[in-house]
Amino acid sequence: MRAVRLEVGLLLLLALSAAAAVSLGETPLDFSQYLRGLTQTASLEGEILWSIRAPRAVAAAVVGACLGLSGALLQGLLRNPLADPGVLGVSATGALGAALSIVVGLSVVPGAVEIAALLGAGLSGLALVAFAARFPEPEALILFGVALSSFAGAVTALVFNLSPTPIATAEVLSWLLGSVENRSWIDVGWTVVPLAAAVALALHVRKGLLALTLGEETAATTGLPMRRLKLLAVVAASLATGAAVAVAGVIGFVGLAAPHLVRAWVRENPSRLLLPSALAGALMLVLADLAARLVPTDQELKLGVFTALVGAPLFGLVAWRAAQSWRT
Amino acid sequence: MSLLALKDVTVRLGGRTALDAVSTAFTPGTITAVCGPNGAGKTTLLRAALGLIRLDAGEVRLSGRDPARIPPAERAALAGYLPQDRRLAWGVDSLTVASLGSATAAPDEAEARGREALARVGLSGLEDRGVFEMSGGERARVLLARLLATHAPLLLVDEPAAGLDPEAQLLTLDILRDHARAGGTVVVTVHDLNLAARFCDRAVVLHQGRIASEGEPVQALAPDILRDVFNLDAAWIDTPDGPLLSARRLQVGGGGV
Repeated sequence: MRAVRLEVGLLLLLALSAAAAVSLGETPLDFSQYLRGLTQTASLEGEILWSIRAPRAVAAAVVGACLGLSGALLQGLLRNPLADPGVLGVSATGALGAALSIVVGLSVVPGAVEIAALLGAGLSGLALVAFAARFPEPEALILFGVALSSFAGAVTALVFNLSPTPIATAEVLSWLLGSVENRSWIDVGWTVVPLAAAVALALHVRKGLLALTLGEETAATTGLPMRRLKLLAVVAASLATGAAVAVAGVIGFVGLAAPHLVRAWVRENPSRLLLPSALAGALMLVLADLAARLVPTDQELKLGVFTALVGAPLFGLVAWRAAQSWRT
Repeated sequence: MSLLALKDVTVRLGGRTALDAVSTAFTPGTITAVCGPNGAGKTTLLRAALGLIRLDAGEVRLSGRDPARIPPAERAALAGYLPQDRRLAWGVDSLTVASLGSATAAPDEAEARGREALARVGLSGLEDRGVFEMSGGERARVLLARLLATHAPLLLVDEPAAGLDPEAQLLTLDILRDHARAGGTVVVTVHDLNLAARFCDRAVVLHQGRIASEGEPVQALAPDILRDVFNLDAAWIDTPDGPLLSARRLQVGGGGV
């Protein structure tokens, strides 16, 4: 009941923040202009509201939901409050796919960068699933993920190094910084199917995540098909992270922070954390994007930069609290 | 007929032979203590019995089948396991933990079993309490409740008395013995030989991965075994509450300390 109330509350807050994100922006509109925009979608105001601000706000919400869900899945799977979607290297390999597609000139083809990022994330997801099938221990998975992430980071640096033109380098850099600027409804469409699949898988594996609270071996004796559930959890996290990276580039800390924002509300139950964490991630990213848009700077702040600036101190706080709990 | 049987089971872990050609069987209605010094192979025996580790030789039969090949839900219905490590990843409430004993049952059924098991271990009224808000002893009882909520006929329990105060130790062993008296099969690893002698019907003594002796606890833990396996100069004394071990440590060379 408590979890349902939390989910309803988060949905309301998300709706309010999305409304604010659509209403506020660089171009100020008065009341009559809002009315015209709401009623006449083909008007200039309608274009601003429905073709620029609304898809951007929805993209932020969907990407945030992907990251929040992925973070909750991975923290439950790895039984580690410091796990996040970056830890398994899916973000880094998605970013590598996008960077490669940009330097070979595919960015002029609509959807090519997104597909390349999804492919990169998907390949690492497959590698992770294959690895997890052979070595299901979370520590082994973390080590493999760190290796994958480091390798993808190194190859991305190589892509920069060998980039043919400064324009391509700037384009890759801009994409890597993470943003939902100028995203269209088509971009939003890229994320919906993987997110829906990830949510369905996450709901399927949730009892397994709860059983893992007892530890790997005890969970294996609870009667649940833990090996399969853990594999599906990796698939779900990879799908969600890949979709987020494909549309918005690399955005850190949302996956780490979102589960922590709602964990106490669900009594730390990892099986009840998934949807609230996805909603909290969506809320965080919509608000962060709105804040990044409204900060008066010459160049608009990139969303990935903004979330990192806010998220890094939060990460420090999480580490502090975790260290304190280890002492007790 | 035994519910659990090991035949010539050998397990090597990290280049060390943890179990060496171990053969024994556990029959319904009995509580068996698996004793031995640290590193003797007690925990490995439990893990091998559940099919949690690969055998290098020999075979395990759980209700006549290889436990590693029994589907998880069927195996959980046959055997419950309580490891010595009582750490929990998250501070979920005690009822949620206890209900995990019947993770494959319908939610209402699982919750009912969890409540009943919490009542058996004396934690009624603490169902909503987070496990991180409980003392170590209370947390151990929550985990014991989860084991009882499995309703499995075979219970494998690793060091159930470790870290508990004397009353909690007796309560835990009483509950496990009751399970055996009701027709269940209980296997516990214990370091406290007095608890083994007082609560268990049988003892299996392991030494360097091999069975050094087995039988009724006082016989299986006879003075020569206590000397050779545990390095103790010891003897059993009869008391109204059961046998009591009087022991002193042997120095290298044979003298007592």
